[in-house]
Amino acid sequence: MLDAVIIVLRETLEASLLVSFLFVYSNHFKVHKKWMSLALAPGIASAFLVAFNLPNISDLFDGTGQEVLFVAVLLSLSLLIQWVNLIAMLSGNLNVGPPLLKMLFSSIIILAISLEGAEIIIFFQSSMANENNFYPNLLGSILGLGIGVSVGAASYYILDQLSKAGLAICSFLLVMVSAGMASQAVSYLMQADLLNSGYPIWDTGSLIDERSVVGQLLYALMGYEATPSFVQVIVYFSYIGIPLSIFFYLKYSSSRGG
Amino acid sequence: MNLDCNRKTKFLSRANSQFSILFILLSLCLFPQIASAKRLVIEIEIKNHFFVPDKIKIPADSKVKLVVHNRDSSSEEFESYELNREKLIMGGRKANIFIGPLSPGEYPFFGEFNQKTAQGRIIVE
Repeated sequence: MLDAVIIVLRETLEASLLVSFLFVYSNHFKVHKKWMSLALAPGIASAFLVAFNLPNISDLFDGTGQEVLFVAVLLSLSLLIQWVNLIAMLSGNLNVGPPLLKMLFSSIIILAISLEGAEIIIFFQSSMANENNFYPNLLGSILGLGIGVSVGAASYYILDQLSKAGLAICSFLLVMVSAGMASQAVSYLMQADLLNSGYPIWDTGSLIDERSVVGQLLYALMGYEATPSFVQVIVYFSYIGIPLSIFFYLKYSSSRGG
Repeated sequence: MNLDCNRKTKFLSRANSQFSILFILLSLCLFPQIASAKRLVIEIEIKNHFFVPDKIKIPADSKVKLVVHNRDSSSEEFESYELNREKLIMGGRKANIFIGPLSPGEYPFFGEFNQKTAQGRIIVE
């Protein structure tokens, strides 16, 4: 049962934290949170579509279809998050209509639910094969889902209470989440041998074990990996450095212009 | 042969040397097939939620292709924190997972959906 709690919690946590950050942005931009209920159904439908077709998807591209799909979704997600974030950081300078934001928010949630949901569905299918495990796994999954959603809700209320500081923490965490996704995409490319795998450049496993609660939380929040490769680290820090540079460049040039 | 060589040196001298170095590095990165011609392939089976074999020895500093056959009807997720690998393997299907180059040591892996039984180790020597 505990395994089921952790498997479902891990998948739920990422999506629910994302929703909580986007809710904070919704409040800030005064965008009605209806986009969430509109994204939920297509997200879940798409998760089922991915889950049921994954056997065939996996066989594509010489057995690397699964990695190719996950990389495509992760990179799209990470870029969409960066886009939203840049809009939020420059909200004083840019005039953004709510339709664009609603569309970005919904797309992010649909993609996130497709990816995380598909894995939960496949886990569930797998546990249905064994009757002895089914009910403990069902209970564990509900618990995992409940904890994941609760953590997301708590994070939303805390960040929302902090108003201005909460918004800053929110955009910082979103940058980290997006960098983590990009780094995970690099790892999938190496797994599929589409990118050469290198030796890890450090090992912080003895400091923070990836299996520990802190490790899992850090993984969901910032893509923590104890033994990252060189390319992963480069991509990770580019994902943090490039938007920051764009932000300061635009801020500087617009303040000079105005 | 001589002609070919001449043409090559001409090309290199004409092209910006920095650019060609970058190009070679990029192509090594993007087309691993060119970088390593021969590769060890290791077959693993998942049977009744156990890995067979559950101990795999591979040489250090080389790239290895793991072919994991899932003989069970239920899906499994091959996962390893130490190897940074994670792949869903549907029931009755197989999956390729590339690992390495690795330093000598032990790298545990497990089946995430059946962790009580599906445990294995890669031993790099």
